[in-house]
Amino acid sequence: MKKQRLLVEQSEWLYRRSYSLPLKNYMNPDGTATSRVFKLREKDGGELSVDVKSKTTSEISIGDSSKYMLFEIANQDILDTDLLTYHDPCTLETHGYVNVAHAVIVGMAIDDDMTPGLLARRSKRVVL
Amino acid sequence: MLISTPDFTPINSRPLLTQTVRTVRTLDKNVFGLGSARFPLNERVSRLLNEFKRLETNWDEDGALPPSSTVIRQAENLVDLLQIAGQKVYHIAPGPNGEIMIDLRENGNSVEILIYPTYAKFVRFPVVGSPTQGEFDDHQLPNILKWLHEKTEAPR
Repeated sequence: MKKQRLLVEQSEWLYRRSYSLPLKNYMNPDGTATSRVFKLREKDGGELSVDVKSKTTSEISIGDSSKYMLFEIANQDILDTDLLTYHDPCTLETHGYVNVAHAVIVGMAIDDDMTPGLLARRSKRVVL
Repeated sequence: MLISTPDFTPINSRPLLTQTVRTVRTLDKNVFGLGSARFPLNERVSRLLNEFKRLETNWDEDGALPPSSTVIRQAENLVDLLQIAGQKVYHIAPGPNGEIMIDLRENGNSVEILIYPTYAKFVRFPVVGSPTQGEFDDHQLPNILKWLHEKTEAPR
């Protein structure tokens, strides 16, 4: 049976984490995200992982700030791009760890390179 | 202006850069007001490309594939051509699926050229309006650069 998921409120903001080593490859020279931050990979199964900002903190969301960068984007921007964001909390049973803030952006195809670029251009870096 | 033909490997059995080399030779660089002098516009990008050669599988600790030597060579060739055309590369980044993204920006317009292991594409992000994408091959580069340098008034 397919699990029921709730849509994330339009007014929410989302955090997206990206790897910053060895050269901050996913970051533009001005500190903004490159499109690769929002690019799907095969193992994502068509769902891009994010955290719902109101349910976490930037420190928790980024985890190890020496390894990762954090970007934020308004859920309204996701909706404006004809995508949807669903709550998808991680539990000990399903994921082996707990993250009540976890959500997924759905509707993007793995071969789509326009949407990742749009989302990157609408996101902002969260400086910790 | 005479330049040597860069070594290239076909993407998807199609020569990506052969025609580009010829078309860049004939690009009117004065269109862009950039002159024809060769200068190290893209030194930082060339350095990054060299660093990408050291990436290994799972380089982002989330399963990212490293760009293959073929993908890196294609990107190097393209950066060389852009250098010759006097076009600065804004940024270059490896992606999670073994691709390299080359980002060009001018006048608020931006173009990403994405070199994947088996194909290449471009995505245009205009100042105003929606992005458009297409398969990238050698024929598009002059038009892509021309579009990039078009001045469009941004919305107030």
